[in-house]
Amino acid sequence: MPQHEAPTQPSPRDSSWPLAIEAASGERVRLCYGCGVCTGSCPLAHAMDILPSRLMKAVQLGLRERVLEAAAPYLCVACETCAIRCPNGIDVARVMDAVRQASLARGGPPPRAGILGFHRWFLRTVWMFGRAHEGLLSAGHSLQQGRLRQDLATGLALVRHRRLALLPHLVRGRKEVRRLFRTTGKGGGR
Amino acid sequence: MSAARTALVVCTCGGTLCCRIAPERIASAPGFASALITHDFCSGPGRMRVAAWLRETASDGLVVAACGIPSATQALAEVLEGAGVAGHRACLVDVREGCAWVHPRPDQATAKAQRMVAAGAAGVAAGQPPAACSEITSTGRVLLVGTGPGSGAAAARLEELGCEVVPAAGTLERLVGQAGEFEATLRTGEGSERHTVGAVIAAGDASPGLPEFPFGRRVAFLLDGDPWPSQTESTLQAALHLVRDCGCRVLVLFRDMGVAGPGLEELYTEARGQGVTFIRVEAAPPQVCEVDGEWVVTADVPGLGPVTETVDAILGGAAATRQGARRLADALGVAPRQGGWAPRERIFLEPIATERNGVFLIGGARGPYTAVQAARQGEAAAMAALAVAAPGTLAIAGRACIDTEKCAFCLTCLRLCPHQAVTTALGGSMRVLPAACQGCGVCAAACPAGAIQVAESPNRRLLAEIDALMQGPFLGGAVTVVLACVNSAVPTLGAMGRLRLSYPASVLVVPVPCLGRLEPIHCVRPLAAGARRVLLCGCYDRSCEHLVGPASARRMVDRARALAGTLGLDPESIQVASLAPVDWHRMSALLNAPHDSLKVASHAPA
Repeated sequence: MPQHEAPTQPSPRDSSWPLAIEAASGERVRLCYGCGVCTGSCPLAHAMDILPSRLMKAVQLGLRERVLEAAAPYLCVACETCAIRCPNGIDVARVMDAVRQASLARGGPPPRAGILGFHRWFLRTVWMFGRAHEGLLSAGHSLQQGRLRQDLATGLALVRHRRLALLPHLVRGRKEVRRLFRTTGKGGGR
Repeated sequence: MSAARTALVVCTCGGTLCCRIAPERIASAPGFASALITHDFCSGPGRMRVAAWLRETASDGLVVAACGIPSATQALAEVLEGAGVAGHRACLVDVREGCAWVHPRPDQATAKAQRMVAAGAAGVAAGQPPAACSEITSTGRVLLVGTGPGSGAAAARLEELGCEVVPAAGTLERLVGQAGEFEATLRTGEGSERHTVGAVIAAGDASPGLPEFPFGRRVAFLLDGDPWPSQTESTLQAALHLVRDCGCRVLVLFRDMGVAGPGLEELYTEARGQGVTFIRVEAAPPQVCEVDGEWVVTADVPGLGPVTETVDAILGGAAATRQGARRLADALGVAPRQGGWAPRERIFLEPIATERNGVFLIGGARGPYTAVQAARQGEAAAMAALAVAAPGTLAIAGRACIDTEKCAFCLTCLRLCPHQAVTTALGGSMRVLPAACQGCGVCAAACPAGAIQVAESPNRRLLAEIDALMQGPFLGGAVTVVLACVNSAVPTLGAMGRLRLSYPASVLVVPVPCLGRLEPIHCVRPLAAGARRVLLCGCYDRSCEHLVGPASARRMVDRARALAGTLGLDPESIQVASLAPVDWHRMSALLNAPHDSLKVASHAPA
């Protein structure tokens, strides 16, 4: 995804929002000095519309709308490389999580078509089998997007090379997993 | 002829050079009374062995073909002392970094090494004994000008070291003489007084206090440009004070947060932790406009677009005593730069020294440093002052020497000397102050009467070396002669050797103390002897140890080109390049470029 052009008009600011994000994430976003190590080590930075280090600066400055409109937090896979490398000890992935929750709580539409559906399908497969199943995840997601044929060739190639199992791998503790879903109140993305 | 007793020592560096250069072929060079092949010239036993051999063969001159590392230079000095050979009758030729490690073809490397050794021998034969030593008697007194945290530290350390500290009771007006025996004139309330001192330490106070609190609750700091440590410190302290103690909202707009100094990094972290907002402004400076009696600051944040903040007050960085620093520099006879402060970027100077030997600038006299930095500089200056002003008598041989028979008293040298080392002596003649002279040769190159010779690089020796390098046919194509400044180009060539960055064996190097030493004849002579190109490689203007070297070389090259034109040689084949001591990639590009493309490379931005 190409990065968004920086706006030419000043963005509105909310001075209390940085504190809210700090409280929700438990991270001291204010310590960030913008060195860009998180961006440099992020495996998904190339796909993000706002780079992680700039997103941190935007949170610091209270540019709430700008951050909540961004797709970048939904692309974060929480690999935690940024957290390991941050010289100021900030867990950027947790901040991303807090921003995601703020975005969902606002109830707006998912910032980028398909991202929310992808997350739901992911949780749905976990709810079904106790662990993620890439085949169903990509098939269901593509079907929902109406672009089944787009991933079909890749999927079949992966199956042929035994990188993708057609049949799901069932986990023994599926009941416990479903109980977790019930406790958190999220019914498998349904 | 004295060259009959010149000896040659070839060091094979533990035998590692034998695959590229043949030591026997080098050792059989003509013109030497005796030759020795060794493998460990720089080691302790190696030095002793060579010194004993020199005494046995009763040699009075020495050419060493070895490597270009500092320990080889030290070894040479030790060997010369042990064998009783005069310094001007010796020469170290770098056949390792300068030849064996950069020329892959053994035949070319050996031929070039032979040529280099022949040039060394020619240089030794043309060597000139240094001027007679003159005695400098120091009283051990050190003049301390100005106040500030550095001054106290310096005074305490000097007293501990047994030096007498003379606090300046007035304004310094003039400083004449040289390290060890400066004559300082101070203006006091009653008149003027004079002191004879060995060294001068100038301090100053440049730390501004915390701002008062008469303005509103929202404050922005503008820290533009390249901040001095005390500007960073005072801004961060003020921002912290306003956030923590006054409950303000503080925004700091900066281009570069200079935190290189004791405690500054921690201060910066503390300020961020306390909630000071920092915005780095990269391209455009922040805009400020007044709206309904409030200030609206707009800054362009990279990737996020403009961000505005409404504030009640906007503060700048530290305001410091710039004018005073400039006046002081004038009185001390050192060059002020960077808007009145002492230069920061002259990499060959210690952080306290100036281009004038025996004059030290610390704390606020040097620039807006923090109190901790100033105190450290004070201690360092005390130690350095002791080195030049320790009580006692010292015999120093001048590096530059003026021939009073030839001198026409035109005062060109007095005007040009960057180290204040030339003075008028009694009886209407010029004199070089030996403790002040740093041997750059700027005066020698400019003297219209040719009356000045520099001990390390007298004209005769430079020309003899160039002629010997250019003599005879050469393997490996069109010859490039590099006139290399020992501060920048020679270390770069050494680094190229260690990195094995090869260049054609037809590149011949003549080290010079400074590009300012060179005269048109040094550039034209190689061309007349058949060189395709003469490359003058020296420092950047702002980092030249002798301040004026690159600038005077560029002026000189214009004259050299005119001279080449009248002789029917290609004027464009004389080129100047500026580089840092680590610019090996640039140097490699310069030396490996095809000849035609080089016209672009000359005159690098200063």
